[in-house]
Amino acid sequence: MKPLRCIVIADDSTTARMIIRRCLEIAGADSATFLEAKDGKEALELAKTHEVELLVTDLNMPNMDGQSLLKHIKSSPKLSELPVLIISSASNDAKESGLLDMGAFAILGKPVTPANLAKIIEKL
Amino acid sequence: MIQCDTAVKSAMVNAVTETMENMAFEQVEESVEATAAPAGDVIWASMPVIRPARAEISIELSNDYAKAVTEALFGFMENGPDENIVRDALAEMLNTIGGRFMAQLTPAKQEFELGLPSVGTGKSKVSLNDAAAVNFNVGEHILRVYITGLDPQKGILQNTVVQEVSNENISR
Repeated sequence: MKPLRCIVIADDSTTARMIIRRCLEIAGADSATFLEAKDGKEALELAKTHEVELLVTDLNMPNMDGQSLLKHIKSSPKLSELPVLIISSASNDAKESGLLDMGAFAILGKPVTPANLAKIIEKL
Repeated sequence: MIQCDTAVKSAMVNAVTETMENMAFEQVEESVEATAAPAGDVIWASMPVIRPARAEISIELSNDYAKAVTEALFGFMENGPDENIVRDALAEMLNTIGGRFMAQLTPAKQEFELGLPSVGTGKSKVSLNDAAAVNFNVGEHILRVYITGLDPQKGILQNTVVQEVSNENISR
């Protein structure tokens, strides 16, 4: 696995961002710089202004939700190659299939664990 | 109080057990004392289910336990966790429980949608006449979960498929 240098985590919950960051560190991304966003708007701004290699986002957020964030990223010529990992409590087969069709790299349900994150990031 | 269908209850037991074990590393058991309530000052979190059925899922626990769970998540804090962090941790815990619960009850080809959680102190505003309650023992503490929006006779949520959940999963 190529070491990830910069990861954006978007979730309106401080707790969720902390858990995801901790799990990513245990999963092997311990040398990455983590940038945190409370909603999709902040995450999009961070993605535009930093050399981000992975964007991890929740779906259910105020201002701009994860699905809109994914749409913006995949329609931007500059950002369309950025892998977007969605971690959401509102995840099931139907939702996952729609998000994969929209260009999401992978989808994980909460609660997230280092083991299931490791399986995802080793595919990057 | 409404009696929820066995499979609905099993889905909630699974959701709470999985969430507490993975998020807070807490062993949780369903309490046989269905009417037991959290002791002392109480804090609650509540979250609407928007589809496939209109419902509300709430959790209620003591302030002391809420602080303990928050510290289990974030690590020891010298002056105890800040109130905002406790509220955020409870909201995230409920969000995860609600997601796991609805993922088990919603047909695979159908999406479900949850609203944003809210958190408050004092006894939950849930009307016991309209809710089913499931109690959990977590060490010496009680975690109480309320589900409203159930069919009062059948104890199920509309537009959901109740999946079989084995006893083995429940006790895991």
